[in-house]
Amino acid sequence: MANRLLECVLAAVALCVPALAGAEGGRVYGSSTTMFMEYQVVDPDAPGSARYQMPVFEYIALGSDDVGVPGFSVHLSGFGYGNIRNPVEGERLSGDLLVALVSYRTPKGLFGATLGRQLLYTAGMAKLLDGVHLRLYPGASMELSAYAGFVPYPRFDYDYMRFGYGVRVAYNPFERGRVGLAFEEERAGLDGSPRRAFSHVSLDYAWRGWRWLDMTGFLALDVARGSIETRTILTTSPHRWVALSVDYGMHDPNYYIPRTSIFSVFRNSFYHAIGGDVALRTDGWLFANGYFRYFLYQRGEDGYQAGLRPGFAFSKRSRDSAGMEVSRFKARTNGYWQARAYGVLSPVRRLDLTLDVDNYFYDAAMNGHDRSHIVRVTAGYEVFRNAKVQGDLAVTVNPEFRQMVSGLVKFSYAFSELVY
Amino acid sequence: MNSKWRLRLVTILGACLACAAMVYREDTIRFSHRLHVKEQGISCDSCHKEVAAKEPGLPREDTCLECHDRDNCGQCHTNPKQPRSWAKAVKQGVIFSHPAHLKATEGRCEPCHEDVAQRQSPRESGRLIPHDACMTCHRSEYRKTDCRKCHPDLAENPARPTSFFNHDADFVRRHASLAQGDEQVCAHCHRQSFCADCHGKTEVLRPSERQSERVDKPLIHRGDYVTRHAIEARLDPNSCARCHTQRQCVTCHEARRVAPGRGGAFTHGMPAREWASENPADPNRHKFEARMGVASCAQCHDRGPETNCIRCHKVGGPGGRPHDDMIGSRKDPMCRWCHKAGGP
Repeated sequence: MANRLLECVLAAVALCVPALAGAEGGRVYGSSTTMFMEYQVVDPDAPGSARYQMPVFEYIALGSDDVGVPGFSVHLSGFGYGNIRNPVEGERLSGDLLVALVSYRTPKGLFGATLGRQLLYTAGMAKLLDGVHLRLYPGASMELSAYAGFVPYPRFDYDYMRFGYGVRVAYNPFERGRVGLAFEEERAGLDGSPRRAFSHVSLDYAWRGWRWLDMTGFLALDVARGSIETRTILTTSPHRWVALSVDYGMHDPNYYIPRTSIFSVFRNSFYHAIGGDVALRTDGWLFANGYFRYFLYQRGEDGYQAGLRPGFAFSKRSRDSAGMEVSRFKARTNGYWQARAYGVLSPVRRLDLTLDVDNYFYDAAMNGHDRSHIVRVTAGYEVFRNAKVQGDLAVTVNPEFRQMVSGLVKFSYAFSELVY
Repeated sequence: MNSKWRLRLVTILGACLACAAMVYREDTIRFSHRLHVKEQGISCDSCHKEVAAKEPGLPREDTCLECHDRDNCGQCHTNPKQPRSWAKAVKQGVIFSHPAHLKATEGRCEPCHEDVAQRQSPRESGRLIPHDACMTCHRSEYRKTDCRKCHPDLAENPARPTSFFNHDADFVRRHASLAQGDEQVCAHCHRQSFCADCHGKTEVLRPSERQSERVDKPLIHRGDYVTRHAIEARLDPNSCARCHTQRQCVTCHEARRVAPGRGGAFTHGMPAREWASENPADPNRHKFEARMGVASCAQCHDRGPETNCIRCHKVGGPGGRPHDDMIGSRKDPMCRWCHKAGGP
């Protein structure tokens, strides 16, 4: 309830502040996307048969930068949807605020503050926070930041709302690299008996000692249980057409389980991931990307993923292109080959056509089927500047559906205006 | 028409579209900077006449016709029957003054346009000046990540990322490490709603569904992800937990009747007896999977004693006592699931 109330207050502030501040040398922007979809789901009341659902989605984003006060920004985005045909579990209407924040940054950037619903990426986690995030740049490449607030959608412990806070100090001479040290904690069960769910100490680092080499990564430790999550990526560009990266990570699934969960009894079950990626982007038609990653688990089992994605751009003026993708994923109990081809074509101005043919071949059959095929065609037309209408038609054959036809109609509009 | 033939028809139509795109040729201009500048010694300002006074743009056709014959269209146009006008200069949303820079370089173009005199085609000539060329002089702004000095409105007019800001290679995998410490750099171009397109905690549609027309983008969870997500979750379990909440998984699993206690046919990808059995001789695969990806288990089962391990793993239960020794203080919340306050 408190969460919903906070959302409403933030939404009101987001909408009213620019108007109160008056329009002076800033930008206002917004977008709206309406989608009418129709697709099949397995009928939960009659296993083996399917029924159609018809949800309608509306995504809205509104915001302003530097309106009234330089450095002041307001941003609000959210979505709602209604299922007008065969809702499952009675969920006919739903929606949420994705981001709702006001932020301020001093003209020279020495101080910044963000209040409201915002995304944070800390200690190896993407986190949504209803709260405040303060940043101070006192000089000498030092950074201090702190946040506090509620974590409205924690990863685990389904019904908990958590209170979280954290501090970070960093030395960040950007061109040469960065090193930051952070401590953060989440406390669950704010019903009078708060309990520690997470206590993380993390080190984030980047090194750009040579212009041709970039190293970035983090090491995070759960101080209560000793779980470690770490990843380091080395990237280099031996030629301006080529980018290479090599990465290594040691991952502990327990790291994401809060101490309040019974699942936190599972300990010391980490796995390693090592791999690399190569990208080619010429000045001409060809671009390509390939990757390979090997996973080694504690019991000696392993798995890997590998893929190659070559493509051809037909024109520099438009997105006209064609490409394909071949990949192989092999996990402990199953795996698949993927073979995909796609094309983008603008035969006349304002009209975009796309085709996507995606095929999967599984090592072990699921529901008696060992392959999936999806063919999707889209046609989009720009009715006027920044306003587009699009239609999609897709045919899917997979282990869940012998054959499913789905479609959507999408209307999108965006505006962005300078105001003085 | 049966489904096989329908599928074949759609595939053939798609192939036709792809071929049409390859065959279609639009008019372009033949132009060689090497021929004009290097071999014939024509100075830059002979064609880019207004460069020292204001922004140069590209020379008008009249300028070309000062030397070239108007009737010989094919000399410059590759498809004279359907000629197109010369492309306008690409506006990158960059604060840049040619007159000011020409003063700094004493009228020379080469410090920035280093090898333009070597270029033989409009495609090569149209290549943007690499970011590194700007950095020869603008290192202080780069060091302070003061992008707005040159790129005032990157959120609206994003420049193609170059050098350090390159988003090629495996950027989807790499971006988290960069965003963790340098989020203010990302914020130059990307608002939080851009992040929320993928990281929205209650988002229903996958990015590849919301942007179904962007078949050329490497969006995650594309294609038949509903079928293959179990394979990928087993391969790299933490890649799911890093972003997704339990709610996102449970909502979908409940709707599709693959949640525990919902009467569905969820089998963990193998026969039930192979997964969990009271017979110690059976593989009981679930215990190994739990050790290797407990976060995947918790996505569905961390909803109280009726759904989690202690339904079976308890003294007197089919799974037996779940631990052999003292694994923590009984004040720990997780211990309280079995060991009530004041109890055994």
